[in-house]
Amino acid sequence: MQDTFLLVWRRAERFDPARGEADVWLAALLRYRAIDAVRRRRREHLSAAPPDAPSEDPDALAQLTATAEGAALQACLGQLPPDRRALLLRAFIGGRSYAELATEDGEPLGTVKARIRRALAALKICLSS
Amino acid sequence: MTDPAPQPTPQDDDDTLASEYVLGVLSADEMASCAGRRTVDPAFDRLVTQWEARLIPAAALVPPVPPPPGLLSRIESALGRDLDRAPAPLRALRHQLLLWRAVSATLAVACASILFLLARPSPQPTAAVLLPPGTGGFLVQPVGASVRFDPVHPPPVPPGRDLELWSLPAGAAAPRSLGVLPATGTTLPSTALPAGAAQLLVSLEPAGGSPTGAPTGPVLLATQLPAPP
Repeated sequence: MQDTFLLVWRRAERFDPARGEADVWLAALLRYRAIDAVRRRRREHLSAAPPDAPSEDPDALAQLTATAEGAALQACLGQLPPDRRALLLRAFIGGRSYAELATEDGEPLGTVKARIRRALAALKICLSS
Repeated sequence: MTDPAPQPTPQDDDDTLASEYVLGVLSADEMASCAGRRTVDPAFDRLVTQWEARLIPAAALVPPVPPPPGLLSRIESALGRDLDRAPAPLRALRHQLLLWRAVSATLAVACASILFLLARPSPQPTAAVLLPPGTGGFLVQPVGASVRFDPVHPPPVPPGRDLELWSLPAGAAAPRSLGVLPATGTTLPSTALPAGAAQLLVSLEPAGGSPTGAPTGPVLLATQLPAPP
């Protein structure tokens, strides 16, 4: 057997050929594996310097408007206070855990959790309207 | 007199957990636990899917970097197909992650492309697989003198049941069991698989496998192994 093959299971009741769903599912799958890989790397290279924060300038956020979903997310991210938006992006783009965010900011874990949860709740309300 | 603030329901707690999982802020153990829970808890899976739809567009904020030299030709030989038809572009997380972001073309029924996720400085790329939504299965690949079966969002197995793997060579009358296939995957010697063209099938059986030597439950997964060149 020379090549790689895939056994595919079709869950018919959820199958939807909409391209948007496939992109989200795949991007999410790759993100979880990326986060897992990053966490393992960080455990192995404890002295590694933290990377730069992702760009928060308006031009960078403008990249989101390529899709309708991205435009909605951009608008709702824009409504968050800048420090909350930055915190969410450090988590999402930077692959940070609660513990890492708390350590980097010198804040208690509970404080960081509360901030993130409030920001996520605000995003959810904004996106549903 | 004012009403007390409404208490969060278990559903609210699960929704919060789902949002934290998709955001990626949980510990490694918690992330793994949520990943597993999705496969057996459809309500939780739905909450996670909803949060993925909300947040994943932010992946566009990941700044692009050029692929390392040799990567595209390595992918080309692995795929064995013209890379001009492959998905693009390449996005990167700033700190030593490389992420392929698919711009999917059509959704074919069978497997489409192989995408690679690299975490530098690892020397080993990890393969990810592009599938139509709501599907999953096992990635089958030769590793030395063995064949690895690795789960890729595999079907959930109800309690008291097991997945069983079968080979059905071309022209054979009945499939031959290759044993129970754990949801976590397995490794078989290459000699366990048929030498020529054959189908691989996965059926849902009672715990421990079929008692009759033939599939007794539904065939959930299938693929065609071509004859070697």
